Order: sequence, then C-alpha cells, then structure tokens
Amino acid sequence: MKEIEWGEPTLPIVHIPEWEEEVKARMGKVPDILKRVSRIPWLRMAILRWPWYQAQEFSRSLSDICALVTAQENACRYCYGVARSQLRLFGYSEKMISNIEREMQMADLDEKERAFVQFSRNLSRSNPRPPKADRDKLIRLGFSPLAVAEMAFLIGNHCFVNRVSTFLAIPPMAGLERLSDSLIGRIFRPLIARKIRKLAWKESNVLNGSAESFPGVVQALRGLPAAKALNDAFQGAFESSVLSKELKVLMFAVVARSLECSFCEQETRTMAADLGFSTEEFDRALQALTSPRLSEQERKLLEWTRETIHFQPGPMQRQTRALAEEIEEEMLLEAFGVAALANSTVRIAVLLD
Amino acid sequence: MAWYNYLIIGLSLLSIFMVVWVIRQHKKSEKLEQLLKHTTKKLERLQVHFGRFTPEEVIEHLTESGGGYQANMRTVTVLFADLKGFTKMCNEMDPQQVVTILNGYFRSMSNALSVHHGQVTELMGDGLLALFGALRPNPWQVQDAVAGALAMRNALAEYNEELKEKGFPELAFGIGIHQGRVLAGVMGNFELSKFGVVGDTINIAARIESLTRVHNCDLLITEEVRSALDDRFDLKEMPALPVKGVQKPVVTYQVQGIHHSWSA
Repeated sequence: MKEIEWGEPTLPIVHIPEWEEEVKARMGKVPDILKRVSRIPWLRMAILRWPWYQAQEFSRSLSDICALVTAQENACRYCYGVARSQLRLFGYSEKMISNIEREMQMADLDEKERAFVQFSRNLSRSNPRPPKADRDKLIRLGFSPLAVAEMAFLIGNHCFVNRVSTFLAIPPMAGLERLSDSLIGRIFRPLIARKIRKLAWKESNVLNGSAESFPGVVQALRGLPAAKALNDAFQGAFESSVLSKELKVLMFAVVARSLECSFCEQETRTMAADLGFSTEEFDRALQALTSPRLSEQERKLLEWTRETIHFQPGPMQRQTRALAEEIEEEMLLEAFGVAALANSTVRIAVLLD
Repeated sequence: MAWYNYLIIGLSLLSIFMVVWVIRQHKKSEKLEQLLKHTTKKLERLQVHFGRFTPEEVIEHLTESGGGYQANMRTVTVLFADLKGFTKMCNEMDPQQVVTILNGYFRSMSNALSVHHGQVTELMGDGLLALFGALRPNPWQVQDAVAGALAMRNALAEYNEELKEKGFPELAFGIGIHQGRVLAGVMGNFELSKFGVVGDTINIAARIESLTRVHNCDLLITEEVRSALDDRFDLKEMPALPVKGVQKPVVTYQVQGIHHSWSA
C-alpha cells in the first residue's frame, strides 16, 4: 500500500445535513467519501449502496475477495486499505490476504475461486477485456451464467467506487486500517465483523419494464438486484442536469471506443442520434474529442475521459487537480461519476461479447 | 534402571529432538517466506518498470507462462525525428557538451511525446523513434502522433531559448509520421531481447523524415495519416516525391499547426 502514490483530495467536503442524517441512520457515521460526493444525488446514492452490494449467486467470501482484488488492480489506495482491513476483521489471515495479492497459487483457494480471482483481475484491468472463453471457463467450473453476470457487475461496481475514490483522492481510513491489527480489533473482531456485515445492501425492488440507457447491459443482469441498481445509476446520471446529456453520451462513447466495445459504442450512437447528432457529427466529435455542442469546460472533460481508462493514481490525481482549477466543482464531481460509470458499464458489457 | 526409565529417557530425547526439528523447520520456512516476499516485491517493481516499455499483456504472458510471446500484427503510428546538421555540430563541439545538449533534447522531446500517449522506443544517435498504439490499442493514435509532433516543435523552441542563453547553437529537427501495420513482439536472442516492432511502416516514417530536408520544413505526414486526421490540423500538400521501398512517388503533407478556430 505504501507504494501507491496518493495525493491530497481533489474536491472539498460539502455538508448537506439531510444527506448526512440519512447516511448516519444507515451507517452510524458519515465516511469522508460520502461528504465529498454529497452534491450529486445519483452519485452519492451509488457510493452509499454499491460497495455494500450483497451478491445473490455466489458466496460472501468471493465478494470479499473481489473487493480486494479490484482495488489492488486499480491501485486505489483508499479502497485497498478498506478492503484489506475488512478482510482482516472478517477473519482472513495476513498470509491468506498476502497470497491472494501476490501469489494466488499459494492461496488457500480452490480452482473455482482461483478462476474467479483471475477473472476479477482481467476484467478490472481490461487490457484487453477478457474473452468469452474466460466466462465459459467459470461456467464449466460450476458457476451459473447468472452468477457470472453478477460477478461482472460486482467487479464493475468495485471499479466504479475505485475510480471515484481515486479521482477524488479520498484520504485512507487510517482508523479502520489501524483497528484491524490492533489488540482491540482482534478481541472484538467477531462483533466488528458482524456490524460491518449488517451494512450489506440488498436491492429489494426488481426492475420493472425495460431500461432506457444501455438496455442490453441491463438486460444481461436481468433476474439480479444488480439490474435495478445499474438502471437507477443510469437514470440518475442521464437525468442530472449538471453536465449536458451530449457530454455524458460522448464520455460513454470514448470509453467504449477505447476498450473496443462495439456494443456500447453502438448504444451511444443511438443515444446521440436521439439528441440530434448526425452520424458524421458524432464520428467527428469522437475522432477529435470535441464538439460545438459542448461548452469549453465540457470539452476539457471529454478530453480527460480517455485518461480514466488505464492510469496510475498519482499522475491521474495531479491531472484532476489541475482540471479542478478550470472546471466548476459540481461539474467535475459529476464527471468523475459519469467516467467511472462508463468504465464500469463497458466492463460489464463483456457479458454481451 | 528399570526398562521404563530407558523408555522415558528415550521418549524425552525424541521429544527434544522433535522440538528442535520443528523449530528449525519453522525458522527455515520463515526464511523461505521472507525470501519469497522479497522476490515477489522485486518482481512487482520490475513489472512496473518493464510496463513502461512493454505491453502489460506481454509482461503477463512472459511472467506467467515463461514461454515465448506470440508476435502479432498491429496498427501503429510511427513518428521518426532526426536532428538536422548534428554531424557538423559533433565535429565542431566538445563531445561532453554535445552529449549534454543531446540528453537535454531527448528529455524535452520525450516529455512532449508522453503527454500525447507516445512511447519513445529507440534513440539512435540523434534520431528518435516513437510509437503510438503499440502498448495498447489507441483509437486516437494518429491525432496523438501529430499533436505530439506539434508539442515537440514547441518544446524545441523552448529548449533552443535555453541553449541560446548558454551560448550553444540552436537545434533543428525533421519529423516524419506514418501509420501502418507492423509486427510486434519480443525480438532478439537469449542474451539480449526486447519488445519491439518491425515492418516497412518504420522505414517509411524514417524516409518521410528525410523528405523534410527536400521540402524545407520540419514536419511531414503521409496520406495514411492525413486520411485518419480530423480537420483541426492545418495541412499543406507537398509535391509527390519518390521514396525508397515505395513504388509510386509519395504525396506528403506539411503540418503547419492547428487551425485558429480550434486552438481558440
């Protein structure tokens, strides 16, 4: 963890009393990250719920490991610290964690679990996105297709939180990190673990009707609470008026093109056509990473989007800090969310390949 | 002594032996674990550094399987830059000063290129070869290469100011950019190998660079590059000239800059 370059937060804390009360009622306290995303309702809701998503189709231990592996792959110092500390509090030994991080062959995992960890790594990294054979392998090893779909969502979900945390440079949770190895932490481990487990979020409503944005991706998750969770995030992101819808569609298109997801690029084409873009205009905007439909600030955000796919946290945070000097804070915050959501969506869309 | 006393002594000795053996084994395993940790950390650091020159997939393949990496064809944009009049400078100046000037030049150019996602893969004398889209797919590789070359132009102007202040002669370069398919893979033998690309695309970029002397300009691109560029770049078509290795005379375009409406 010491090797991860991590700077000061890029955006300040904004107190919104009613939001903080809601968070407190659910979590008992308000973590730093939820104060920094408070101004964008859809984003704060996703950050409140998504990290606690409870998988239905595979074991809790795989979900725990997934959080660690994606945070490690994305080099998110904040999430990595949280995931590691939580695993310790859940009773995983330091040796086991270290083996998962460094030498999976030596970790006490069976073949199915190893395949899952490898899939988590490959999908998080997406350089290139894992081929269909990787999903077939998981199914061959005994996971159901729905479980594999939920895995893709869970990985995308963690990638989303990893990205938002990295763009914001959220300070690591030093208290939690200390607690996991302290004497008190060891003595009260079962109690603390139970308290953390209680935060698990299970989407109780199912998705009714068809999804408006990226229906194919949402459809791939149909039958899982993830479908509703993802659809809510899309709806919130595209209905928010902080950034123009044109910019958001183009941001998704940039990520889709970078990760060579023809399905997602086609979806963005359809969305752009609904906004009045001609094919030539859309192609030109995507080629030059600009459009006359965007404001000066939005053009900068579109250019920045391509940097959000593969990055090192330190240089990325320096870049976003520089951007913060030119872009309104609220706009930048929503752009963090949209870029993170686009990156996750294109990763989840691997299910459609 | 009764037989059971011998048994007790024997068992005690055996227990002591067992305890000593367990302790030694434990220490040995601790040492091995430390060695493993240390080696893994070293490997991780090596992977990070290696990642600056080689695609992640290649590193992953080499470290996981240990086998050879299957070379493949990929589309890349090649930028070749060469200093003009450098041989004369070498003959006239103190070698140490020449090296200092050259190092400063390469540092400045590499910085300009890396901002635009370019990867400097070769420094050959005063020549520089940069690739775009070799490490990972880059749909904007052509735009990046031309924007990178324009950034090099600005960086060279700044560097020349620095040289002028120190009383050194100013530098001038020529740049050729071409896009095409290359064979990418790990090249070399057991003693010396590296990730690299080979193909006519590299040679053509170098030959286009040499045309900058004929056309008396600093930055030329081929038709392949022009056709993939967007209209923000201000281009001027140059007369077709024969180029070694290409059947028909090659039309090139001088990149003058970015149109005012775009840079505003």
